[in-house]
Amino acid sequence: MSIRPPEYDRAPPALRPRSARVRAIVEEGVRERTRALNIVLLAFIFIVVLLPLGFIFYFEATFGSLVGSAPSRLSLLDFPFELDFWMFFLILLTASVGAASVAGDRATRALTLYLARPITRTDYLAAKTGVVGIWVGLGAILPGLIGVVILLALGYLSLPVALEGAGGYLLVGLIGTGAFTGLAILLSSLTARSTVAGAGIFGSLIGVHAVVAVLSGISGQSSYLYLSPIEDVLAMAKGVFGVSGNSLDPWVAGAGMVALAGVTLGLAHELLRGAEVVEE
Amino acid sequence: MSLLLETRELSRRFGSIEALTGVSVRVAPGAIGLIGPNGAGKTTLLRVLLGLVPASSGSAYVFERDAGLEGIRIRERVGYMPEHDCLDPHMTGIGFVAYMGRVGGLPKEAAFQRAHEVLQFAGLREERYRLISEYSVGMRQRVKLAQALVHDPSLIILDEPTAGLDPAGRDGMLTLLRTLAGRPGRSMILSTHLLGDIETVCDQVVMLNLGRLLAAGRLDELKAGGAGELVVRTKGDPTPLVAALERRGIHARLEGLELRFPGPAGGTRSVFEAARDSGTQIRSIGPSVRTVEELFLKLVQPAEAS
Amino acid sequence: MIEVVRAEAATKRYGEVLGLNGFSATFPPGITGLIGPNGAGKSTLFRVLTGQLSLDWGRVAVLGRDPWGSPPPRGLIGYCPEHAAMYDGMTAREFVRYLLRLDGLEARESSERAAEALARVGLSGAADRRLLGFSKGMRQRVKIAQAIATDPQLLLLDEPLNGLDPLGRVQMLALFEALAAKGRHVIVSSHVLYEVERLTQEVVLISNGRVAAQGNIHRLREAIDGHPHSVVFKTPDPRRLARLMTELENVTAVVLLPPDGLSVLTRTPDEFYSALPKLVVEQGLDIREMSSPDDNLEAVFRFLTE
Repeated sequence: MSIRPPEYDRAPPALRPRSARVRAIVEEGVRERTRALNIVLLAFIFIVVLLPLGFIFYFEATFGSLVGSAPSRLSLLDFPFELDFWMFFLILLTASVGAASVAGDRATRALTLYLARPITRTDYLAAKTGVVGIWVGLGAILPGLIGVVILLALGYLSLPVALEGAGGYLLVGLIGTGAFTGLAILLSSLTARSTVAGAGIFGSLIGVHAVVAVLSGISGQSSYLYLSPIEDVLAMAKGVFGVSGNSLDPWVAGAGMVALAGVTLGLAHELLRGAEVVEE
Repeated sequence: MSLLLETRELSRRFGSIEALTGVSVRVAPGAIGLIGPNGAGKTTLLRVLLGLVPASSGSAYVFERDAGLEGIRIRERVGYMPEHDCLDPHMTGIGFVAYMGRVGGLPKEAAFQRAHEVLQFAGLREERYRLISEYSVGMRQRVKLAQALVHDPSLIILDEPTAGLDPAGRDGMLTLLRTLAGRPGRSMILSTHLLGDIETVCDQVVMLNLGRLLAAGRLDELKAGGAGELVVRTKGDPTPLVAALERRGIHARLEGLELRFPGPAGGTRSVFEAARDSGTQIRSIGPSVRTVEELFLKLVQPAEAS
Repeated sequence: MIEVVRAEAATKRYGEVLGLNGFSATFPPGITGLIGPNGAGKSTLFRVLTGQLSLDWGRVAVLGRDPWGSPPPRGLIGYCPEHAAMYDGMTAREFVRYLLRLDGLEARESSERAAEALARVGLSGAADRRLLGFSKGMRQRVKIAQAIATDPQLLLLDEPLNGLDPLGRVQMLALFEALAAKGRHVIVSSHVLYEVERLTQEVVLISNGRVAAQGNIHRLREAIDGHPHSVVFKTPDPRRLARLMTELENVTAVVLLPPDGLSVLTRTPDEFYSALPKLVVEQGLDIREMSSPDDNLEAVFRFLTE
């Protein structure tokens, strides 16, 4: 029998690489958000129940029969984007998961602990972007994919159209997720108050949309609409699914969204460079 | 023995403010007290050493690695306990410490194992499963210490670790710090305004003032060269002892509660004789040593005057 | 002897939470240290003494008056609270002047006194800067300045040294001593017992809303003389000293601390210290140093609160 004094010293195992450290932050962040049960519930109900149901009702209403011949028109898949409440839900989700991402660490001052660990500021920001991106992506991509699968199973879509549709949802969802996430991370980096950041995210998405809509209505200039991330997403969707009557160029809209993601994340990174670590 | 840290002509400016000016210091492994008034540059020095802020000029090395280039490698082996609160109130003590271990690079299993061990060491038992939001100031300090130890760093940096603690809490924390300071092969930088704490924990000091190095070295060497006096404390009234010493030609002066006089040639024996004759209890006797505070004030005040 | 503060069975509850629980003590003139664990009732006591809270039971008299019923004239008592919000938009001078105006002083006199108080705490240079940019140590100085600005008879200081750097601590301790020397009374609470010990020999230990002990530190120390006590010696021949020590009846343990140390545990310190001078002289012992880790305020406090 050997007797060991209670101590904490023990040869430490080899350290894992930086990518594993970043992954630890992402895992904890994604898990942590599930503690805000309302978000999970909201996301679950929406993703799993509401949107796919919407698809079925829509197709049922359009074609009248659950067992009909497959209409297989790609442009029909643009319909959920015409539902305002999907965009509204996405904005809500972005605001609730994005608000505290960096602001929370500033408020608790845990940011100090992260930056004193063997990771770079870029690693930290990448991890936080990952956390928000995963949640926003769930809301932006998953409903479309689930809807396609259900429609395919019910025989509304042919396989090639279904595949093309899935690709469309993936493309628009990914670009939209990038832009929304970037905006959320930037606004969350600006303040130590999560509620302010949340209001900022929500307000900047909805508010800009409203202002731009009014502006373009008054002036008759539809190009103002490029300024609204929501309009950009809708324009991209129309382009991807081949819907006619698109007042915006989907390519320009898509490029704008990618640029928005890049600029916001770049700015957030600059802000973080000035963050104090060891404070007086 | 290899150096723990070294700076060469290290300077750091923030705009027009010179936070550090030409600091050159070589420090061997051990328990180092970092001393300086507000604005002395302590914080900036720590930031540079952690590789979080580049030097404006000069260089800094920790574990013989260049802090400007290998910050990540340095931080893998450093644990940092900030002064301010920095814990996520929604996590449990164990969850938070294990998570911080993982961010430091520990595999998940090892992180949990070690988190339990360091929390145990820090004195958090059943409470470690509760949410941090329910913790007292003392428990939070212990979690902060544990997260700095979880990856078994070669160097821990502690910023005012006894802030907000009551006497019993201070006592417990200082005991932990002394245990940590006594570990072979592990070093500590203790940054605090309580110089008495540095005296009981550290074996070396680095003193800064206005961004410049005031002094650095081993405490026993810096403190040596006292006045060569003996200091005696008695139980109760010391005047009979003073009179008895006087009869032996020793002129003792009373400073506060202590008697001070030049050490007699024959060592302390004549003092004990005087105590026996006067029926006084000697409660402590020993050569006067300069306190860290005396040393610090002596070095700081000329600088302040100029 | 006049009593600065007299409390008789003072009791204060906040709902179910106990602030003071039959607190009875008298505070003598001069400086008195108030020490106790967090939540022991120190801040409640300060608020009762300043007339911010009324008691549920019992009585207190501050400078002979009831602070709640017939409060002493404004300016007679200065109070430095542990936590205080300040008007960050004001400069230090405006803040202190504003509080003096609230005390009923004329504008001119307020300005003069504010300037004087800020000078005494070493803030003359920063008097016209906004509080927003003040460090913790500077805020602490402002809090002390407003407390001393009316030149009060009684100064109540709740953790006045929190956040002050080493220089600030020394300066403020000197300030309190100077005020006491001018005949002012000071009641000061602190968790850092060696700083209290430097300032005064009169302490009140508060625990659980009651007085755990009060009086002169030495007498408190002597009160624990009946309990085991360890004494550490430094001598060139520790083994010989060890042999002699084991023969003493009241010695229960002897531990060698190589190379030149010896630790002795005695059950009855008083007897041990009384017998020691004779033993040293008769045996011709060469005691270089002798001290006891159990002979300080920390040890007394630990004993009384455990």
